[in-house]
Amino acid sequence: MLVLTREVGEFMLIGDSIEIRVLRIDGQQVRLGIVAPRESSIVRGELIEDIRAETTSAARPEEHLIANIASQIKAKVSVIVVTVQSS
Amino acid sequence: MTGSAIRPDEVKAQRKMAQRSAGAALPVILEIIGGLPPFVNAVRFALTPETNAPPFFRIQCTTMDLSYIMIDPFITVPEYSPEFSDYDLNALGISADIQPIILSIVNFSRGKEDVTINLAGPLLINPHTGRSRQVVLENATKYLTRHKLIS
Repeated sequence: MLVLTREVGEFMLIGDSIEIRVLRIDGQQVRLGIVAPRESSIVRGELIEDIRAETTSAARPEEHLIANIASQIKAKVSVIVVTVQSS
Repeated sequence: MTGSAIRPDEVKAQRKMAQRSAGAALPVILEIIGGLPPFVNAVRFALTPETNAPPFFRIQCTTMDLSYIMIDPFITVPEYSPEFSDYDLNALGISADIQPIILSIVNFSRGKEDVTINLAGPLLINPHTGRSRQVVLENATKYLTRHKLIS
């Protein structure tokens, strides 16, 4: 990890086209401005970590649960279909 | 291999909105770019319907002992309206004329009373090439990473 220290108003350039600027510092919070190509993906780290944790724990599911849960879903889905058709 | 999702009433024309259409053919082999965390090298998966447990699907890695159970999220969340970034659509070669396939990972790890699906981070699939990625939705904050499958 590259570690930089920046002051308010300073920025850094990543590659040719991604700029991160420190706009304001308020106690524990840093306000950052990001200039990046429109098609760039910019995602909050907590969300990435949450998704990673969920995906990690979902690997190799307990086989004995699968058929049981599937039959519960099938029952529920049949109910939804009937409602749509009768309206 | 065909999907069995209920067709939503409204098909959004806008490129970023993608919904599952009934009868779309599923690719048999997926190439999941970047793998699935923490298995970044697990890229090649076989996609099959879970024959003794419909409507589930299974993705099984062809290079290591690793599988996940998947579901078409529109089956239990018909109003699901995922928005995908141009970044993700371009990376998978999903042009405006291609209807992607969307599957959610099912999490059984917390036991049978708390089975959930990740609506904020679905698996986005190019149906023609099998090229896929687990993406973060543009409108991820609208959905849960742990959406209860059975309410």
